[in-house]
Amino acid sequence: MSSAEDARPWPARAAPARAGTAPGQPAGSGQPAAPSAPALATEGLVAGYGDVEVIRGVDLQVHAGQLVAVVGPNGAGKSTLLKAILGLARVMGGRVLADGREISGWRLDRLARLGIGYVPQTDDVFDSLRVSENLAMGGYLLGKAQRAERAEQVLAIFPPLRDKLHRYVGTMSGGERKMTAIARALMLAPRVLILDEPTAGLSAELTDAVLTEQVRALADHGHAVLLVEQKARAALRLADTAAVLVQGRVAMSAPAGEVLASPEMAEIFLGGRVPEKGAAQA
Amino acid sequence: MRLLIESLGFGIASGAIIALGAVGFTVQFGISNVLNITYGALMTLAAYLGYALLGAGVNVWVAMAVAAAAIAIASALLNRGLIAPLVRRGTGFVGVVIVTVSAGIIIQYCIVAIAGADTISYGQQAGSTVSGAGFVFTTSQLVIIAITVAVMLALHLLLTRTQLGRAMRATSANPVVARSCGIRTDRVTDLAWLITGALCGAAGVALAISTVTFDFTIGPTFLIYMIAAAVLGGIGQPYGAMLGGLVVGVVSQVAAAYTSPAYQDAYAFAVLVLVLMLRPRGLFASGAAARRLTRA
Repeated sequence: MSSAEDARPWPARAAPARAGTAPGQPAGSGQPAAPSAPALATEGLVAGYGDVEVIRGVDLQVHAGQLVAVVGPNGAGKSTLLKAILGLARVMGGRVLADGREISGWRLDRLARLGIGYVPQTDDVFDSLRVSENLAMGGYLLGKAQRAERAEQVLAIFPPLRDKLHRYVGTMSGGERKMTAIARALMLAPRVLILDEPTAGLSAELTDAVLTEQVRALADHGHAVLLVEQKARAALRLADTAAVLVQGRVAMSAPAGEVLASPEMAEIFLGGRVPEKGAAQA
Repeated sequence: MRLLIESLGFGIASGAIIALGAVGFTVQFGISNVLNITYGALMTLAAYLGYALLGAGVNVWVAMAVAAAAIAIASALLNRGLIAPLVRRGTGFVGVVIVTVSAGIIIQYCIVAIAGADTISYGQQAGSTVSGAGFVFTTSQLVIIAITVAVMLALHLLLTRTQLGRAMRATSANPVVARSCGIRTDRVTDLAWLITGALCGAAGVALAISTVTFDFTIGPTFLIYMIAAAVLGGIGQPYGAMLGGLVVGVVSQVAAAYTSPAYQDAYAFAVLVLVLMLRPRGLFASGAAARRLTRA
């Protein structure tokens, strides 16, 4: 896919430094960053289903050009956090913000108009539609000419899809489906892309390909990317910053490299321990 | 051989009406995940509206168009005013089905209260007979077949060639992802209920035209054939419902010709059971709608 690098349609935003950027801080190369609002943020977010709280006071920030990974053991509330941001789970307290504007509880279609894209963990494509139709639906808000132009740009990112435009997505492999899902989400050139376990069900080889060639590249080209990933080490190797979620709370929040090297990581994943609040903050 | 061809003709005419109704029923289910049993009562309402219009001297085909438009609006209102709020409040699949059964019964008895429970008739609407290659059709049967073919073609073009149609299919396949694309799935669903309501209305009048006499049970009785056609074709699949309607119509008419009309329903449903044993998700099996039905 690297051959298509020059053709990539992502906005020419300054990419952040890969390390040393604390979560919640604007990306930059060590210089004090301009005080711009994060592309996506949560402030003291409390959320869940019915009366049950799953997310308990989560603060998170994602800036343009930044890849923020949310990792944690099973049942930590990672997917619920995304669903709360996307208006799919009930927000009971706190706020969700996009560019400083409160968007708590907004419907997905309204978020799409605001430039927030989403790729769910499973059921992330329209199985009974062709690849070309999946892309057309991704560009639903665009005019016909703009949609065709954008599809060309997206196909330049994912050349393997070009030969499969007439295939029904339901007949394709897991990797091809994931590629279609991300391509579909890119059709609106979202400023923020939220990915829920994009490597779920993929082989180790495909996991690397998806994370490095697709997810990391999105952030490098200026998108604000919020990634929830069960394969924590693979995600942490590529992310700028990371938040470790345990029992609905942020147990650790630091540059991804620090989180990866932290001896507490294994303990959190194996024992589900929640460190004292702020103890592991960068 | 002559009997076979003639009964095939009757089967095609009967299948056209079943298909007209079944396509609307299955598209409605595919897009909104609601098994709308009120559909049968709305067909009855269309048949009675047609009867009232005929009484006022309106041409039968104009009456069909007017009834289709009226039922389209009634269907959209039913979704907007009753079904969608229930779904938003978290009412389960079975709960919604029960509500549609109840709404259907209320509509039926409203019709009885206004028009009475006696059987009624559209009179002689069959027209002259046309024969060729062994087939014998009445002109009204040919018009109904032509309307069904035209509607299916229009629906095919809508679903495959327009952004609205693709959005309807996308909403049916995956409503969450559809919303993430910026599709207002509630509006798409409203439009789907409007369009399928029109099909329901047209099918109601077509059924009344092809029936000698009918009463307030005409729609709910016919609903079972439409459900059979929809399930046979693969629930949620419009092309499946077209084929399913044709199969149910042809099998029941051919069986009636060779045995007794009393057994025609049994043969049609025997085919349904046989197909489902071989292909549990129907002839045009596709994931989303069938999975949703299974989960329910």
